[in-house]
Amino acid sequence: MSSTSLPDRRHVGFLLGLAATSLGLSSGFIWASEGRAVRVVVAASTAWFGYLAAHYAVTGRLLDSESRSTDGFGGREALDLEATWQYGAVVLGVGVLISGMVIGAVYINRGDHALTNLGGALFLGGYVIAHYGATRELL
Amino acid sequence: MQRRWAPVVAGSALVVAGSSIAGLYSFRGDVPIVFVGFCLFVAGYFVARDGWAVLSPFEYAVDGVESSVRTEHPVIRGGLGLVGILGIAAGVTQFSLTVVDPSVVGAVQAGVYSVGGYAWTHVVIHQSLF
Repeated sequence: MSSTSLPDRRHVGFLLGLAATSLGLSSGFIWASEGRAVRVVVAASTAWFGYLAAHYAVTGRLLDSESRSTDGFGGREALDLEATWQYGAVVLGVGVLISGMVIGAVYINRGDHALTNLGGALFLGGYVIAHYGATRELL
Repeated sequence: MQRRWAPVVAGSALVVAGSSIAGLYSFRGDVPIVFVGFCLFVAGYFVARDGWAVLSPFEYAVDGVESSVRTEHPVIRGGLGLVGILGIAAGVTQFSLTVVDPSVVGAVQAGVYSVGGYAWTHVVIHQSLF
């Protein structure tokens, strides 16, 4: 059975994968600030494999390959989008992403893993919103 | 397309090592080492995505293998990409320094550097913002 016929499983995989990425990213920054190298490596692994799982869940590919391949350099046309709402989504997403960084900075400083994850979730959520606006794909 | 798993594993190892180095050294304010970390991260990403052929971009271009790295100007493209990675390294380092010495302005500045560096690099490599 193809993954496209199982939207619920796809979305669960997407959310679980991104949750792992948020956990890894958030706790990883706290441990990096404390200089705990081994834990940072564990956190980085969690974040990366969570991203791969989330990407696979919604696209059927581990990483973008065939769909983004083109020759030449990016110019102004690289910023052209088909619909006006897409520009709004990109701006909104980037704003949410930056708000996640601001919140993350505050709670990493306090060593608060749970609330740093709020920043991590906003950071990744903003990325997904902006990515969807630009490409109409979640990741 | 059949996926070869060895490059995925090796690339993932580079991604994890690079991001760990970047994270740890960003709190020391060491932008050059953070930059090296992100270069390892990006190299690992491409190896995981496109396989070993990425490691020899000229042959890659001549062979016409399907990939975003394929171009008639791989060195120029690579150099422009490094500028973006430097922006990301500076942004993440600024972010970590802002964590140590909290400042909303510093955090927003870090976000703009990081997002700007990411967008620059992605447009150079993929001709799209994301």
